[in-house]
Amino acid sequence: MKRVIACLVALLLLCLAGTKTARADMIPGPRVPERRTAWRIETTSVYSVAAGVVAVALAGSLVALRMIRRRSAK
Amino acid sequence: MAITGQLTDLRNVPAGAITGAAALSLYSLMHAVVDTCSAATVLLVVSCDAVDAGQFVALMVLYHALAFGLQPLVGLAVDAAGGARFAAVAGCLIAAGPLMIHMPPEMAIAVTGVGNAIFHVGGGVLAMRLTPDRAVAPGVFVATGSLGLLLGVILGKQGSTAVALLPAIALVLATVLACVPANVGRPMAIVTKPARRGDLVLGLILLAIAARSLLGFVVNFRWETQPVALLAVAVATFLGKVVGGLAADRFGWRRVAVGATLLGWPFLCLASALPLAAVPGLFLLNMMMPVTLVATARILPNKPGFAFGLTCLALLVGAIPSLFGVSVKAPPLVSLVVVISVASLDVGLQHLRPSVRSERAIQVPS
Repeated sequence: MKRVIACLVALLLLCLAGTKTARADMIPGPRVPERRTAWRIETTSVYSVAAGVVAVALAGSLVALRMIRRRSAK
Repeated sequence: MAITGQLTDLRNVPAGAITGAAALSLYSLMHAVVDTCSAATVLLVVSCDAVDAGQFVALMVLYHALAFGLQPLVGLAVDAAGGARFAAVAGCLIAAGPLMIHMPPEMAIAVTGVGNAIFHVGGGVLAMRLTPDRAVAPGVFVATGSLGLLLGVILGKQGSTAVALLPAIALVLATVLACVPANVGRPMAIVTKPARRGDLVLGLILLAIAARSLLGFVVNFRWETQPVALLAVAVATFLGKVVGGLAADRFGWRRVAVGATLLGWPFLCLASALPLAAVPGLFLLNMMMPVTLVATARILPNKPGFAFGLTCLALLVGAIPSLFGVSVKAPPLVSLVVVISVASLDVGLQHLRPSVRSERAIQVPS
């Protein structure tokens, strides 16, 4: 039952995300490129997000490794 | 002490549970479907949303950063919460999400990347539990990804009609995994004596993975112009991982991983002049993959999710130059990377302590 509920929650979140996007799509006006440029994140921002994710992953992994080693040494 | 034989304790398998080959088939099939969805999403976004070359590179970098970079963090969460099966189910659904619901390009890529990361950790942990401290199951699990990626590229280039069935297949497989008891019993605790200079050994193995990732882009075949060559590379990668896992358990991790990489060296050097030479080269190179995965898991006992994630982070680090169009092709450079890979593998695996099987069964939440 717990797993089925988890599936349903995941589907619900997906649907919510889709509904939000669909609403944005319903905004009247020309579709491309004006509305899309409003939606689209700048390329530099995409790179920044990617770099941020990698930096957090590397830092988080190093911290986690230190913690694991410290725990196993005790 | 060498570990041989199946360690999984099958005494407490629930009635109706799928075990062994059936469970591995389910996880591997899901892996192929998730990777198909991801590749198809990326290509559909590019073709449908008028993305220019610069934006395409940026979106590819974002996808890889999320899909591979998030895995150590997801792995830590999965290890702490013990929800490998939940992660596999949720990841599969999320990765297929952009094919079901219209999203802007960045959101579609981000959602696919996050779903991919969550699925890989969940599925990887489930696969590793099937054959603890052995390379065969993780090898088969990771191998199907290359076939999935190829299928995704083909379907994504055909257009949105061709991928219509993919979300339904993902949904069915996720439901099967969520509802059918897939408990493979209570895996024995693998207690590993801490390796001397454990962090150094881990670093060397991750360095070997990064080097392999860098060499994986030694050739770049396009589906439109060289479909047979692309198919051959995907099949070679698939077979390399499967055969590598089987051979490593049979003949020894170090012997197979180091030997196969050395055998692949001349083929990889030839690839710049004769691209099809990359096919046997990549077959041999990928044989080390399951070994590095289980070796990392052995260094980090009881942290299989984090171990799986770290190997994927190393893959990402090795792939960064290729994402920006810089690939290793010149024979001297290929040789240098192969030597680094072989040396780090050899030293790392040499210092890897054998694990000790504990007689105490532990409860692993599914």
